[in-house]
Amino acid sequence: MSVDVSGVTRWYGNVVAVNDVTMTLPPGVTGLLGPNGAGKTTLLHMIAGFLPPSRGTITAAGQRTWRNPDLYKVLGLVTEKEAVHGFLTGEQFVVASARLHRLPEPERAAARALDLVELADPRKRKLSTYSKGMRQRARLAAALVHDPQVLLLDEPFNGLDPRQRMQMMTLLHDLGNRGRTVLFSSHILEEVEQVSGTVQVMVAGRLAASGDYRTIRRLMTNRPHVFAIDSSDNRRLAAVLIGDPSVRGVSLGEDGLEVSASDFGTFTRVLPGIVRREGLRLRRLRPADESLESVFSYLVGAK
Amino acid sequence: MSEQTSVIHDIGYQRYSGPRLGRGYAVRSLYEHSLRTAFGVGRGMKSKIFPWGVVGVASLITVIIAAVSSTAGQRVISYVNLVDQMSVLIIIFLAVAAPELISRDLRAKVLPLYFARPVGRFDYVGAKFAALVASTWMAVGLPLVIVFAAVAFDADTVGDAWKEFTLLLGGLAYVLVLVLINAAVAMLVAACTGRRAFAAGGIVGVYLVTLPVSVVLSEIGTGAAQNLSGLPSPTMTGAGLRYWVTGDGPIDIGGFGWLYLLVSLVLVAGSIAVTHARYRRVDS
Amino acid sequence: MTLIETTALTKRYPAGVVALSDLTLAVQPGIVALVGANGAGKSTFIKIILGLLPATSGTVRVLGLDPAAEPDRVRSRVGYMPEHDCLPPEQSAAELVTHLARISGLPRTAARERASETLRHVGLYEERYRQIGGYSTGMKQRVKLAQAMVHDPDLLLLDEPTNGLDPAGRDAMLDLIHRIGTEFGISIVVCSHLLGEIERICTSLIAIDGGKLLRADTVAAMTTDRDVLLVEVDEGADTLVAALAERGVAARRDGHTVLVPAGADESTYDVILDAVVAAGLPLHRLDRQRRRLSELFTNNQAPEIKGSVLHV
Repeated sequence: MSVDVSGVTRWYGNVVAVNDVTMTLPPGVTGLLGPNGAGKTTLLHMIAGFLPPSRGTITAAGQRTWRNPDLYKVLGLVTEKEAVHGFLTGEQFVVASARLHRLPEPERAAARALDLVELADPRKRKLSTYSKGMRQRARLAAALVHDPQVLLLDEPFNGLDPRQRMQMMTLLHDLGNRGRTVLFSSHILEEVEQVSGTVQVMVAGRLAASGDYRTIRRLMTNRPHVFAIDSSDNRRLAAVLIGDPSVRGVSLGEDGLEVSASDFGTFTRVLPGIVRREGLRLRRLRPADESLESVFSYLVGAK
Repeated sequence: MSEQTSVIHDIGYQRYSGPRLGRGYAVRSLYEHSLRTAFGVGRGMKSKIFPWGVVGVASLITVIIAAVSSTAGQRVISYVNLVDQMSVLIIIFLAVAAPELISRDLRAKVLPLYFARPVGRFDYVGAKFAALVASTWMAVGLPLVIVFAAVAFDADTVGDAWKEFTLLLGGLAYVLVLVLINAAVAMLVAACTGRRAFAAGGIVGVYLVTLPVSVVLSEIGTGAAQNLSGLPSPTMTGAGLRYWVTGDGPIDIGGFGWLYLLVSLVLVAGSIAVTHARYRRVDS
Repeated sequence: MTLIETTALTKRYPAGVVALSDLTLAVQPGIVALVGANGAGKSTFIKIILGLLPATSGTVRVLGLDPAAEPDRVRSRVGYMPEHDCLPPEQSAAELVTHLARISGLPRTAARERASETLRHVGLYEERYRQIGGYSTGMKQRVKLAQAMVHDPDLLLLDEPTNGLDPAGRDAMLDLIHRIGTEFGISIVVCSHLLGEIERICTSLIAIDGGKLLRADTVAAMTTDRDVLLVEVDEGADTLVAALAERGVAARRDGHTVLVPAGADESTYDVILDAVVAAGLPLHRLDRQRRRLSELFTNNQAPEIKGSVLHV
C-alpha cells in the first residue's frame, strides 16, 4: 500500500511548518530526515490523519487520511512523546490498543505484538517500572497490534541501547521486506543508512531530495567527488593524477592522498589503469563524501 | 612611532589552579542567589513585579501610618499590632517567593546540577529555607522600619528614640516568628509541585482554610478549647506566641504558651524534615 | 592515575532489581565510552560515582578517592552533564554558569571569569546574556556542557551529550567533546548508545550488559582490521567476481559490495586491480574491512564475512 503526499502545505499562523511537499512512499522502509524544526513531525502527523493539511492532499491506498477513521485499520503511528499510562502493565496497554482497533482476539494480537518487540517477558510489569527503551517498544507494540500496512514512526531509536537499536533496525527492515510501508524519522544518519538507503530529506518545510542517497549524491554534479587514497608511493601517484583531466585537485597528507574528481564516472574508470601502469600498489580507495552524513550536510547546506 | 611587537596571545583553555572553597561557601552562595531570586534580581522584569509589588503595598500603607503618626505627634498603632494587620502580606509574599525559589527548580529539574556539586540535600533545603525566611522578613519588616524612622525623627529625647527602637525590635522579632512558621509550611507546599501557580494557590489556600477554622473555634469554644483554638492555623499559632510573651494579641492562649511553642517548633522542624525527605525521591 | 576503579561493585535495590552486578573495572584517563548500560545500570553507576548512592557491596575509587567517604572532594573534581533538560528557562547562561561555578566552590571573581571563558570555549557568544528559555536544543546542550566544566574538573561525566541534536548539532558537539578530551586535557566518561559516535571520539570503551561487565578495551583494539577486502564497483560486480575467480581468488558478492579474502601478502591488492582493469570496470572503493563495535552486541561472536554496511 503506498502513500501519496501531493502539494501539501501546513501552516500555523504565519509559521509554515511544511511547504508544498509532494512525495510517494512505496512499500518498504524510507527514512525521513531533516534538521530540527524542518517539519518532519508535522508531516508524519498529517500522513497519520492527526492533522489536516492547510493545502494539498494526502492519500493512503487512494483514500484521504484526514477525517477517515477507516484508515486506522491499516495505519499505525508511533509518536516521539513519551505518553504512556504508567499504571497499566505492558500487556494491558497493548490489549487496550487492540480493543480500540476492535480486533477479534485482542489478547492474541497483543501477545504477538509484544513478542515482536521482545517485551513478552516483562509484559506483566507496570509501564512505570519500564526503562525508556522498554516504554518506546511498548508504544511500538501498541501501534503494531493490528498489523498495519502503513507504519509511521517519529524518532523510534530514541533512548534505545545498542542491542535494542539493532532489534529495532531488524524489525523495521523485516516489516519493509514483508511489503509494509514504513516511514521513520531519525537524526542518527548512520542508522538510517543501515535500515534503508531510501530517504526523504526535508529542510525548513521543503522537501529537498528524495530517493536513494547514493543516487542523490551522483545528482550533485556541481560538487567534486572526494576520495581518500593510499598507495605504495603517494607522491608519485599525486603527480600523475594531477595530470589527468578528470581530477580537479590532489592534496598530500600524512595518511595518503585526498583527490577531488570533477567527473566521477571517468575518474573511477581511469584510476585503476593509472595505478597499474605506474607499477604502484593501491592499498586504499575510499569515497570520502558519499556517506548519508555528507549527502545530508550538502543538502542542508551546513558544509 | 614606537615599535609594535606582534604576538598571538594564548586564549586556549586554561586549567584552574585558584582556591576551591568548600561546602560552607557553596551553601552560602546558594543562599545569596536564592535571596536575589526572591526579589527577582538578575532575572527579567516579570520576576520583579510581584515581590516588589508586595513591598510597595506594605510600604504605602506604612507611609500613610507614618505620616498620620507624625502629624498626630505619636504612633497611632503599635508595631506588633501593625504586624498582625499585615500577616496577610506575609502569606502573599511567601506565595510569590516560595514557588519562585522551590517549585521552579523542581519544574526545570535543576536539582541534579546542585547535587552533583558539594551541596547535599539538607544543605539545599536549608539554604532555600533561610533565603525564603530572610526575604519575607525583609519585605514585611521594611514597613516597620519606615514607621520607626518617621517616629524616631520626631522623638524629643534620645531616650525616647531608644525606647522606640526596642519596640521596633520587638515588632521585627514578631515578624520573624510569623515568617518562620509560615515559611516552613509554604516551603513544604511549594516542594510538592513544580507548577508555580499550584504552589502559590496551595500556600494561600492553607492560610485561607486554617485561619477561619481557628476563628470559628475561638468563637464557639470556651476555656481551654478557646485557648487552644489558634493551633490549627500557623498564623494564629504565631499570634499565640506573641500573647505568651507580651500578654496581649489577637488570641488569648491562657497558660498554653509552652504548647504553642512546641507546636511551632514541630511545625518548622517537621516541614523541613518532610521537604528534605521529599528531595530524597527527586531523581538526581 | 586511574580515573575510576571498582572492585566487585554491586548495587541491589530494595525492590530486588540488580542494577550493577559484581562490576570490576579500571578506567584509564582519556575519552571513555560507557555503553550498553540502559536505565537502572547507568544512572546507578553515575550516582555511586558522585557519592549520591551507597553501593550494596564492593568498592569504588574515583580519582583515587572514595565517593562514599569524601563526596565533597570527589564532586569538586568531577563535572556532570545530565541527560535530560535541567536548565532554568528564565535565567541567562552567563548568570546560571557563574552561579553554578560558585556552588562548585569558585570565589566570586573566578566564577565570573571562568564562566565567561567556558561559555566561549563551548561556542556561546552574545547569546549567553539572553534567557535560556529561548535557546535551541544545541545551545542548551552547550550550556549543560559549560556548567559541567566551569570548575575545571579532572573528570567529566557526560550523559548522552548528543541527545536531541540534529546531525549538524551532533557533529559540532562531538568535535567539542573531542577537543575537551585532547586539547583541554580533561578526562571524559561519555554514556552513549551510539556506537558510531563512540568509534569517532572515544579512546576506550566499557560495555555493560544487564549490570555486568561485557567488555572493557581500547576502541582501537575493538576495531582492528579483518582479513577481508571490500571492493565496490559502480557496475559489473558479478563480472568482477568472475574475473577474480579466473585469477584464483574466491570473492563473493554481498549487496553492492564484493568481499575478497585478503590473503597472506599484499599481492591480492594488485590482483584485484588487474581484474578491474581487465574488465574495464569503474572502481569505487577498495578498503580493508574493519571490526565494528556493534559486533559486541550481536549475539553470535564476530560474524564471518559481512558487508561494510550491516545488513540486518
